[in-house]
Amino acid sequence: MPLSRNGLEDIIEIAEANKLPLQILIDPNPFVELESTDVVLDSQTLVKRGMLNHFPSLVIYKNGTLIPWMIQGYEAKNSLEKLIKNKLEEP
Amino acid sequence: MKLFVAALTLAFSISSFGQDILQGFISKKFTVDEAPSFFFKVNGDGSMISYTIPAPGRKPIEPGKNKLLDTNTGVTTDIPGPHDPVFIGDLNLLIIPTISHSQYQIYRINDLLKNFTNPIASIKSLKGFYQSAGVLGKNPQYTFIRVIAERSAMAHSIIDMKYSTGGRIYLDDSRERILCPTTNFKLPMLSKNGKFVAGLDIFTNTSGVWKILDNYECEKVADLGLKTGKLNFNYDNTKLTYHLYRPLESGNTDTSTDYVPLPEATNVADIFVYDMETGTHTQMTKNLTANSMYPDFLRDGSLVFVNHPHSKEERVSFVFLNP
Repeated sequence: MPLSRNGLEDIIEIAEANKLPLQILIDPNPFVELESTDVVLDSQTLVKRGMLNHFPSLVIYKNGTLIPWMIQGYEAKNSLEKLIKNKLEEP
Repeated sequence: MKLFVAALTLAFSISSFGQDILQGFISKKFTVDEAPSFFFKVNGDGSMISYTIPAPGRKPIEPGKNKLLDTNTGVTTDIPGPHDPVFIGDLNLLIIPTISHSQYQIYRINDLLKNFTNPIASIKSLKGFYQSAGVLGKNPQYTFIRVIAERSAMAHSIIDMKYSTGGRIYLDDSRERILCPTTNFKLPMLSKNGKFVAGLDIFTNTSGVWKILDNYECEKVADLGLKTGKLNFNYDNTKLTYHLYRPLESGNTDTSTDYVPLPEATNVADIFVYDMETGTHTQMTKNLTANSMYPDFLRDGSLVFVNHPHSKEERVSFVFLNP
């Protein structure tokens, strides 16, 4: 999806600015040729939670636990950063 | 430029290319040489399909190529814009974002088919992505149109306009208006009559439907109870259709014959219909080696979806399913 590429750039910048570890996963049926460093999404848990339903999709792990929340579709950088921070600050 | 790239198959069989139809039958299938992205749209009678060929490579903001397929003739025409050409009702109009997303442009389909690529209107007050359009009504002079676009999970942009019998667009208000300012959801899709919107509720983490009030506030009227792919309404707002990915379970891979290929991926996407009146979900396809995605309704109640085989050696197709 064209906007996934824009979204990925923003997500990388947000992760770097906030020192958040980031794992990028590739669609198991990608339009682009896979590169040797690519990690393809192969998690039944994430698939069952709908992660493949729309790209880009972003999930958050907090204290080693997957938060039952997902942001799907392109989100402008400022808004996305705010949503992530709010989610991480929730008790 | 026009190219014959689509092949029409009248496929009345129940199963083909690793795809089982659980409800109804396939009435038409168009295969295309250039693989479209996930995005496509179909007009109300199924005579036109718009879609995007993604740019190769991984660079961001690289424009794709938009295409318009005439399903009666099989002819495709290159049309303007980087992605997301969306039909406006049955008005023979397309609304397409510019590359910078600074504005949307409206084109007459008849102009585009003659390679005349000047838009009839440029809309600067509609901001955002994933636009969708509905027709609110009509009188002898005008058809009343509504278009929305997603600005962020916290705000969506909405414009109402009218299309005259003389072929001109008039904006009701040149300012940007905000849709559902107190409701947070993603991937909003407008109903065909412009009065409802469906999307992913980011509080409940489930898909839902909202009624659009006169002041553009929204009132939630349905929750689907699960997170779905992008939703589309039918023409009387009684049903929604969507795709859903699921992991392939071991029992789904038929290895009893040498002629059934093993799946190359461990996940498949299938088509579902949600009945707004009964609250029930019906699975329409059961794939083994393909992903069926982004379904939409035709005016007659048929479904159209894009089918991506897992194997790169098989071609992508648009499938018409008569439920």
